[in-house]
Amino acid sequence: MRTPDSEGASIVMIGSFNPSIFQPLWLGTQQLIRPEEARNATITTIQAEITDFSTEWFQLQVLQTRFTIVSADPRQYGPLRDLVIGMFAILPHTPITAIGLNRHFHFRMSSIDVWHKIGHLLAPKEPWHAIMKGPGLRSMTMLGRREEGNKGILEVKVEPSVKTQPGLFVEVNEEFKPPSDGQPEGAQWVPACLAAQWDATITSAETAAEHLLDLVKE
Amino acid sequence: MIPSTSYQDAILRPGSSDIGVLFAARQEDLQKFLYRRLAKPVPSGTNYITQALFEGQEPRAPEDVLVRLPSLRQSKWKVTVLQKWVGRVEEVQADRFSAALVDATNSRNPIEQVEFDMREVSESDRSLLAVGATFYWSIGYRHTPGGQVERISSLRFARLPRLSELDVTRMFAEADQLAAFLERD
Amino acid sequence: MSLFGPGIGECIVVHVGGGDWIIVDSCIDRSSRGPIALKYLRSLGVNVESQVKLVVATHWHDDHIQGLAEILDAAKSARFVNSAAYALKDLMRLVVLGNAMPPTSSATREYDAIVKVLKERRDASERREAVGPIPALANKKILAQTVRTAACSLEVEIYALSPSDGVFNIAHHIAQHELSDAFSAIQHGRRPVVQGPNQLSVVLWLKVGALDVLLGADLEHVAGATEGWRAIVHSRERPSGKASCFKVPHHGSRNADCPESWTELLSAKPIAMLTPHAPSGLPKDADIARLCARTPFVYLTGDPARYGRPRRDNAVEKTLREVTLSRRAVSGRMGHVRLRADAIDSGQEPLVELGNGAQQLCA
Repeated sequence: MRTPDSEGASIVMIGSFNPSIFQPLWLGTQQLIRPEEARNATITTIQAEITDFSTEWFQLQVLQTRFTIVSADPRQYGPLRDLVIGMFAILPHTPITAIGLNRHFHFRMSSIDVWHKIGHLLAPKEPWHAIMKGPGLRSMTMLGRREEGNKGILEVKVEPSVKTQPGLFVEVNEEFKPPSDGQPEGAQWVPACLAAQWDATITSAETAAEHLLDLVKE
Repeated sequence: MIPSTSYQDAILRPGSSDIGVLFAARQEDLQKFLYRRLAKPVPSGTNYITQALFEGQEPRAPEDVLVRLPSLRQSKWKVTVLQKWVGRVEEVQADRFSAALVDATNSRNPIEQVEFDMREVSESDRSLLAVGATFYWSIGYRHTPGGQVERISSLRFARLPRLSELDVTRMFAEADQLAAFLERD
Repeated sequence: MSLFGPGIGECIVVHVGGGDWIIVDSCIDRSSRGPIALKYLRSLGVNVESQVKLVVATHWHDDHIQGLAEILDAAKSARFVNSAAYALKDLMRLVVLGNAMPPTSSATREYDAIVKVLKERRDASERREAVGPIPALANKKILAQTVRTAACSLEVEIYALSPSDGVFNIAHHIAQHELSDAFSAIQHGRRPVVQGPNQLSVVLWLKVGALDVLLGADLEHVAGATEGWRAIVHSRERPSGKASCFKVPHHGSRNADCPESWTELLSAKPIAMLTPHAPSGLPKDADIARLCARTPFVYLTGDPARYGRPRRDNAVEKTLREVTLSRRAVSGRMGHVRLRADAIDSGQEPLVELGNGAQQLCA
């Protein structure tokens, strides 16, 4: 895959959380991160409603209904998965109703023309000329499945990059729900889901990005 | 808690006894937030729970705090990975260890048996180094905020949760059920 | 009969007549990222769903079962056979412990997937005898059929020759020991290393018409008369005959060499084939010399000394040289030794074909 200007991966979970549990000290005591990482974490806030802190390689933000962990360091995508698995192996009764696995990229385009070319390919302008002047692609999201029979819902978003200009932002998101219909099993399904799906999501995001770039032979 | 309905109703007063930020259930959803006013000023970044515990007091939840959802921050360091492996330790000696490496960048590449100097392992990972342990190894470049490019080799051992006897008992119960199912005619 | 081996792992695919096939163990073909058995059979136009009758896991070492679940899922008419020595309950417990944390052991992950496939078929009301797991133990017949063609009919029988009775007692102790080690590893936040010993391997004897074939798995030769190769050689219930083709056990290692087996179980100068195990350097030169002293017809699926290291980006290569003390590839091309023999006319000279780096060993 072509080297992106920047990238990141994240795991987002919807459920019911107690943000104040998720402290660097707790992660360090549980040996889920290195003691030095726990000691040197930069804490933005730790309260009943919200926890937000970052270490050298990840940022964690936990709200009462949403858990987000993100890393911009591609060396750490495996450890990121392990960390989340570790947390919810220790907190198996946390009600979690959905997991989103995400990877995003900002690619620099060689010229603004190439950037427009992708927009033209994905969203032809002709149908819009009748109702507006100068139509341009603001954002596009496609929904599907990674492969036939796969349980996750796949979303691929393409936008002009706000970080890199001219640039293309590609975000791949795959969402999974607990296996038993209507019966969330706390967080017990989370480790197995992450173990089974994370690597594939990370790889398929690269494939998706490569495919989109190939459309304009970038 | 007094849920408010409008972003415009929220008051941002940095430096006052209110911690002024907008708290939203979803980043893009500015219509929902919590408004709480603190009983007494707390410096930003303070963990009121650990501070109270440290002082030997019962943590008291702040009242009426307006808390902004911090945005997810971008790292100042940029890392480009050229090659990744997942390794499994096969042998450990005093000053070195050997491992089987599976190419995580191109799975078509063969498995390689590699010997490392122990000094490649971070001090705090040494306790994880044992036969069968898994680690992640990456080679690439790091771009510092100051514009310096550095070629890097990073080795990090996988950290796994310590499962309790209860967890194992539960797992065994599922295993036994499955075995019984498969065993019957 | 085809033997595949890429340096780690092996797979045997045998046509037993009438278009029916059996698959013994499995390894992954890196280029297609799937089990070599499926790739090979499909390349021959075999309908895997209906024509594969048996899928055997001789033992559950990492390198012998990779891709077996995918095979079992595709081979919907096949029965799954594994060693009877491990009680299913002990095996399932080891599998769950091995899978307790990622990255999971590939053996336990594979076994977990195998169990899921079996469970699906059993849930669809197929009986154990038709699906498996069929427990293999010494002198148990696991397949018997008559293949009829216009010209003749062919009797096909497949027997397990091991695990022997003597192994069952120790198997339980071994399982408990492994469970205890695995539990201890988990308690220390380490992934358990779970592998059953070679002594629990399933050795197979194939009688296809006039041909006898001995597939040695990884069974080792030990001092006791009730275990290992001695137990097979001295068994009064084993099928009669002498095999003209031999899959040499455990990559030709000295530990698995039983001189008596060559005189009692094998014809004079049988065709012997084996796979290398590159991480442990098997077969060693002494092993090759020993095999060649017994028969001139020894075939190896590949030479690990010739496995090339992949060439990577210059910065990566430079860093590799700086950081590692030593480095070598332990897997390579999927070597292929194929034996074609006439099961009706044993006077016909068998044909051995070598592909993808496979070689004849004896000068």
